[in-house]
Amino acid sequence: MPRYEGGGDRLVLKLDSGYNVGIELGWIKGVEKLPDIERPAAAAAAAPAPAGGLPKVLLLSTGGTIASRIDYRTGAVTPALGPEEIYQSVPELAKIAEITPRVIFSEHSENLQPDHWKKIAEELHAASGEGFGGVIVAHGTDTMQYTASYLSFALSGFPAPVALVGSQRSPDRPSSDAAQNLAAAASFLTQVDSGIYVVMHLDGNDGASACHLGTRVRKNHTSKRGAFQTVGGSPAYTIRDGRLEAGPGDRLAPGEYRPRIAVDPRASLVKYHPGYDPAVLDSILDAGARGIIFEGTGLGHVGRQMYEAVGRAAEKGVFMGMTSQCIDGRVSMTVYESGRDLLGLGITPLGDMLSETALVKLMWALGIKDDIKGVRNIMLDRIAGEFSPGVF
Amino acid sequence: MDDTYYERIGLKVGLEVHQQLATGRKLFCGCGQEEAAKFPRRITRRLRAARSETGSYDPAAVFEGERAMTMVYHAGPGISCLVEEDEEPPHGVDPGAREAVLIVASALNSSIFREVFPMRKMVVDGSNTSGFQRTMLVSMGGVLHSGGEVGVQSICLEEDAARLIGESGGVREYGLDRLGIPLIEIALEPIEGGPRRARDAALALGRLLRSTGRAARGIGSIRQDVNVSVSGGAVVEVKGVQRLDQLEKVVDFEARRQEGLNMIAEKLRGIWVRGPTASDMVDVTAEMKGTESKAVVKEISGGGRMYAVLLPGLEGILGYSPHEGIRLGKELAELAKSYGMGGIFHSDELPAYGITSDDVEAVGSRLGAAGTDAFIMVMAQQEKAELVVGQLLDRLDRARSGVPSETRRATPDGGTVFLRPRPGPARMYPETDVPPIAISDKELEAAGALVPEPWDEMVAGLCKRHGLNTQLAEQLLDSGYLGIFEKVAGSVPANFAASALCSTITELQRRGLDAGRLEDEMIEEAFGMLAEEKIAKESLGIIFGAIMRGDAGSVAEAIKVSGIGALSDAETEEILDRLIGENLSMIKERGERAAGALMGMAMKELRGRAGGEKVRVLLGEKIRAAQG
Repeated sequence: MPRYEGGGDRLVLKLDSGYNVGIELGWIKGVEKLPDIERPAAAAAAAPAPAGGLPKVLLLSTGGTIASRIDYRTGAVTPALGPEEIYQSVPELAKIAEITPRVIFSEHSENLQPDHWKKIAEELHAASGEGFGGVIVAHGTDTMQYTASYLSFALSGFPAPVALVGSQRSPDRPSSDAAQNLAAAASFLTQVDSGIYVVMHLDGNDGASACHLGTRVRKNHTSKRGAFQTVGGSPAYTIRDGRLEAGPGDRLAPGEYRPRIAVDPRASLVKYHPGYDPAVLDSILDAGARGIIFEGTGLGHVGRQMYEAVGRAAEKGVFMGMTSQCIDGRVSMTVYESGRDLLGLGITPLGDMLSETALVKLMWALGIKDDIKGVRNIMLDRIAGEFSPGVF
Repeated sequence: MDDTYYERIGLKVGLEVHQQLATGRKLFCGCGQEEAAKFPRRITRRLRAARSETGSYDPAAVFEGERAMTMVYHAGPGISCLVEEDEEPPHGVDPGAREAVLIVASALNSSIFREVFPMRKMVVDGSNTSGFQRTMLVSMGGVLHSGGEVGVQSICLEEDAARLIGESGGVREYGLDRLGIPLIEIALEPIEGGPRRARDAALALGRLLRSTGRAARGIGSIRQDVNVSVSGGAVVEVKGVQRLDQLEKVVDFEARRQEGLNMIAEKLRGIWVRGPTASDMVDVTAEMKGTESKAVVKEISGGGRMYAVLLPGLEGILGYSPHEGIRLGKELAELAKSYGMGGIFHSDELPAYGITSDDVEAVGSRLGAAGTDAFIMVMAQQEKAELVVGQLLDRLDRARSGVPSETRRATPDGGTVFLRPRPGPARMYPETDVPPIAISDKELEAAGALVPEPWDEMVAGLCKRHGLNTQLAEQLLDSGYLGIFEKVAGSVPANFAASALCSTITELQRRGLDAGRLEDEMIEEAFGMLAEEKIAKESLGIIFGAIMRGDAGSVAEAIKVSGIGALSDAETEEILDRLIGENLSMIKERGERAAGALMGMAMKELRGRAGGEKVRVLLGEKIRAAQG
């Protein structure tokens, strides 16, 4: 067996019992080549064929736990969402939809960059005329909320519903959440008209998955199945054993499809904290930032040691938006003097927009507009439910 | 059966002993090892078969997956955390368990690997929330001395499964308190020569484990899986043997069952050619209309159907019983039961169970049965009936080759019943969440130094040091209470301490009380009070009983609820004087012979509060005084 990690002075053996063990190379008395043995063909269960007349669903795979399988012989992570494989591992899908799988790339989501978002959006846009009733985007969970936000902005009004789906427990284990999330997403897509959502387990139980609005969702736990939560409200929908239940959460009225696929990653998220050195902000500006989202304290503040650097940023024509590190609630910068000072320095309060969503929106806005006024207008325009109505 | 019988049929017994390690924590997290009385949280899950690293599905996993169970897990703080709930990756390996397994491997002269790989062993019956058990092969080879020598195959360190609380209506409920407790698994080379030899090996291995001082005590803390085979048959794995006498019976039962299956196979080979499939199943609900079987009437009126399938030429085969209780019909019924059905009907046993000869005739003629044909019937919905009948026909097909490879469960009375097909190596793949563990020279040396002395020497040493007889010394070592004994033997008489630790606690356990509740510290505390004469000898059993019954959570509480406590001499005398006064006429009549009856009355009041010897002496004095 090749090693899947470290320790070159030991040899890994796979025994007949299935166990792997490591022995020191010094233990080896001799090496003999045995005749080749024929590897028995994998006794794979037959994949059920989808029933006729089902809604067509596109499955775009971008990588991550849900779409990967570790090859324990080579250690390689391979995409594992071929058409056969998908029906085989999630047989119930064959009763819900006719799935067309496509692999765009295979990356864990911490490696995804704004260019990847663009690529996903372009694939979706290209497929928009192919008559799919919905699209599942299989995605790593770590940065799923960023991609969901981006797609919400770049493809606002997309003619079919889109569900980003991930997995907190890898599909190689019998307890994986992948199958339920995929099946729930497929059912969900056949029952709603539009919108970009994240579909993941509602909580630690199997049975129910939650559908979160793409701009209001956050990964709030490192490992739990129910890690994804709609911040500040309930999930838009719940899917329980295939049945759609509308929650009290925000949903978007279907709007006109207006694809604007652009991105400029020269934006930065600055989490203010006691002891923040304003020189760090200057260095961000020196690195060429065109926009900054502050994650300020409480109602939207940064300490007064920051004022001069903020002023320098304003002079350079950098867009500055304020969100709160409280996670829930909206910023309100007129309550305290410090907030009013910051408004005076040119910081734009962004209501109850999540800081990560605000960052993505800013990158997108910078991709579309060259001028700070145009960027600001977009930031304050409610495009995909990213802030509560009437918050400004 | 004598040993020549076992030799003739080529009986081989492989033992796998699983011993919980009392390290105070779980193998991959810091939760404790206590059994929970209450569970504040419950979680609902479903498991599905996943493919192994070699791309194939494990037959046992597929079998469980086909049965589509829902699992309810009961959890709670202290006894389980996100690791047991499969909501968080495992933490580092328990160092205590790591040390314990190295000691045991060293004691058995087993070759320890220098790098140990945590693996995932697929288990889809729901007993692991993840769908796999984490296990690592630590060493291979070695020798166990148990009268003769028995080879050691392998020693693994693994996590215990969740505790099954109940199963009904497609829902299995488990407690997460036991999940993750470190277990050492020792597999022995096949033992020939009969059940007795297997028992001796199990006893010797259990003793070795206990002598390390790392073994957990109490019901279920040691379990044996037994692999049994006879010549020409596959290996059958029997799970859940908990007692040595049960082990002997299980091996004997399996020997006869497997030999019987070989005899059935011989008969079958000339007759049975695989013909029918599940699609040949016929709905015979209409033929059963006039049946007198209440169960059938009830099922049919509830919308169930009766399905039958013809077995050409098999008349007399399903009911043929080469040994008592061994029949192919019974094997099929057990298989059907494992899918949640009540069982099957087959023509060799009919008419019976309220199914009349008219019913049998109607079904037979519907199936077109000739004189030498047989049939089986199942009651279920169509989809389930098809699944189960397919499995039954498959089993029948495999009956031609005798003993199928399967996993069975030991029954408390020493029989076995079908559990699931035997898992293959496909069910093992690396646990990538935990890095491989390198074993250093230093660690091996340290473990070697902690290897306990051999059993005989331990017994002899105990006898010599404390003046115990051999039997009591052995009992003491078997009890697992040696550590406490060594601590208390200086302050109370050794023989008394040993017999209190062995027979008193064992006796209470036999009455169904839970020794798990009796913590070491409590036992020591009680002995300490005895040494200080705060309680009487008789009080020990009362205190242990109250704690093991769950009436008290501490020694102080046990004393309180049992109303015991040492009386002063004056208080004791006061009670005795009262008794003498009440029974003066008897004393006058019987003289000194009244002492026996009075002693009984006195101890009824004084048990646990005053020493018996003291009462006897005082009572004697007082009787003499009363006479005089």
